[in-house]
Amino acid sequence: MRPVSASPQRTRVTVNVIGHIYDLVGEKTIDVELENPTVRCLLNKMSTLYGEDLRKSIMNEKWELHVVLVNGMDIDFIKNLDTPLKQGDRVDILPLIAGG
Amino acid sequence: MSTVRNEDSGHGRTTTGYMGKILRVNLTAGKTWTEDLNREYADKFIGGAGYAARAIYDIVSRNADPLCPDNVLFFIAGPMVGSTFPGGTKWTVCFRSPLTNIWGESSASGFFGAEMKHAGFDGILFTGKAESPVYLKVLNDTAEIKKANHLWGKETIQTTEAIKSDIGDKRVRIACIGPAGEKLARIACIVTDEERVCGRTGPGAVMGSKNLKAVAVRGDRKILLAEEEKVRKLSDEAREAARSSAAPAYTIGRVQGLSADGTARGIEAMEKQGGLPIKNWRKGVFPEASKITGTTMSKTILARPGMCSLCTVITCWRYVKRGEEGTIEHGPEYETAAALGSLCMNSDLNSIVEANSICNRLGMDTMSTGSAIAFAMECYEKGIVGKDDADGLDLSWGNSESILKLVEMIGLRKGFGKILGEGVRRASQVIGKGSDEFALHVKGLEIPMHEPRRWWTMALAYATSNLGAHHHQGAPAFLEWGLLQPEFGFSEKLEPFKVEGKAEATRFHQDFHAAFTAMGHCAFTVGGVIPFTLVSKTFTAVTGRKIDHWKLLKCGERIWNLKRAFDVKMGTAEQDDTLPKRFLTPLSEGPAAGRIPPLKEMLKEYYELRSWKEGKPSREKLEELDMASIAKDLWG
Repeated sequence: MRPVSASPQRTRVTVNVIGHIYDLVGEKTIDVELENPTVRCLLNKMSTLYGEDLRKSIMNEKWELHVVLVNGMDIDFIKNLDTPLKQGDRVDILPLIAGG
Repeated sequence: MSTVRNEDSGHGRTTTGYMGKILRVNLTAGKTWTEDLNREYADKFIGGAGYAARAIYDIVSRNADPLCPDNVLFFIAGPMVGSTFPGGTKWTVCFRSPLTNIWGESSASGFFGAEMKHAGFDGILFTGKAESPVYLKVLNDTAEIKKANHLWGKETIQTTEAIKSDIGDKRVRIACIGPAGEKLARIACIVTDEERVCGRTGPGAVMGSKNLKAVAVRGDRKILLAEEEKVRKLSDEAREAARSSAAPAYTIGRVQGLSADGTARGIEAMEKQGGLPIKNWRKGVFPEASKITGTTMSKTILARPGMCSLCTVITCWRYVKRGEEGTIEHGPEYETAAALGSLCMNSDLNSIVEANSICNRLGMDTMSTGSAIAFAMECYEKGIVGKDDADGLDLSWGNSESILKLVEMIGLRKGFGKILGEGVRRASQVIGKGSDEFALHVKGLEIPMHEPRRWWTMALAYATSNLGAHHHQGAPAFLEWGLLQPEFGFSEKLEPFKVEGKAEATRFHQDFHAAFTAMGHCAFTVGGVIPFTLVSKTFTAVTGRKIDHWKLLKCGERIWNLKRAFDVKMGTAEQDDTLPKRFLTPLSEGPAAGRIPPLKEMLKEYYELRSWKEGKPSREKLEELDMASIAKDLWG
């Protein structure tokens, strides 16, 4: 686990990425610090940090392609991209899932 | 041995999409003959399992044991199979299930269905029992029952190779059973293309009971299409739609998701969401999920991906390197990795690959096999089964060596494995001592690998499925996951842990699934990737039948009600539409902790939506669906 940036006054959250998203991020778990602590800001920051490939190949303009969980809850049923984040929150970014 | 020549070799044939012929095989008499496809059945029930349900309804009686010669076995492929449309690969085998005693049905993708049609037939309907082991050879309208004594006892891959050698054509497609089916294990499956499997509800045992080792098909008969050019154009549109779909993580275009990591990529994501079965459904957290997920498979043992006939949209097959020698074989799917992995607390990926291989070679359903082993492990933990009962095996949770030995014993029907090969319901009846409490099944069918306390639509789907707990008789969890069907009004994800909308979504997905499976479609291509209106337009271009997606859905409803009528005829009742007690008790950990599906409430709404009385389609509903004769049979 490594901190992506360091600033004591910002909100720090832990992000777990799974599946092919991991290949683009390069690590399973990262800490991210945010000035505006919402899921939208987190995802935008991750795009900045890991490049447009992350956005283009995995997520559409609305970030619709992923299941994003905050502390285990699907953000679709909290406030979607405006879901607020607080210090220490756990965010999971998952690919769409299926059986077989 | 009997041979038959179908005089109509496709020349002058007027049926489009369908080949227009059903091959009949009476194994007792050693005779084969052809019948015209029943047009009324095809119009009302589309084809595939829908057509088979209507045909079988009149043939099978409640008093006939599913493993006696009176049972039937109907291999059938719908009208979209073999067209150029991506995902038109699903063929089905239908029968009365020896595991559940009700409607039995199992589908596989791959190449067998299309080849059966190229050989001249929409379906092959077996009755009776051969005196000694046989296989059926079908080559370009010609059928021949061949002796198979030399194949009896062989594993599926050996059988496939031997028949190809007998016939002298490597392109022959073969559906066969292994020792498990021969020895009538009720969880035995039928294997094609070495791994594409008709797994659920025990079709391998029915084949074994008929002394039918294999069916081999090969042909070059053209599948006529009503508007060939239009089908090609719509197929291109479907591929393009898949590439730019709302779910590109599925598709080949981006080399991601299902294409990159197979269906087993869902293991870790499911665990994070609380949807993965763990320790025979007793736990909500499995930190070792990442060790058995498709992504790990890709990074460690993947040889190459693969795909079904004419799919071109998703390369979801996995060929992996097995064992120290690195033999290349089909790798485990999601359901297999969960059943033989987390369900048994096994985090050793190589052992899951090995167990999957044994299941494929001996011919067992991996889901029921994993469920039976998890059941056995719980019996062992509780002291109900000891080492002496289990042939000296240490059945502690996660013991991968014991899992492998037990899988083989189930397939060869040896020792304790023989009991487990009967499925968990019968095994718990033999073992007794309260073990029925953790023999998890619905109507006798072991539970698929989707946690119903997390996905409440699946709770209702399992309880009401006409086959027992099943994930391909409606997969309404797609609508909870975000794989939506806006053309049918399902354009928003269903909210978790709320009762609203769950019954309606479940009813819809059951009818939807019944329709596209009867057509011959794969769930992954139509489940949120290719718009269904494109599928229905192609259905018209394939068959010449003008029908929109709503009317196809109505056909699905008709099929669903017909299968339920069959189950009622076989003795099922409202109280069988339920779940094991374990699913009505909350988990203490994980994202679904503290939640239980409100089954009674959902069932009440579901029956109202279906117009069913006491779990039985009402006379009015059956008449509305143009099934007056079935209504009369059920209600007098």
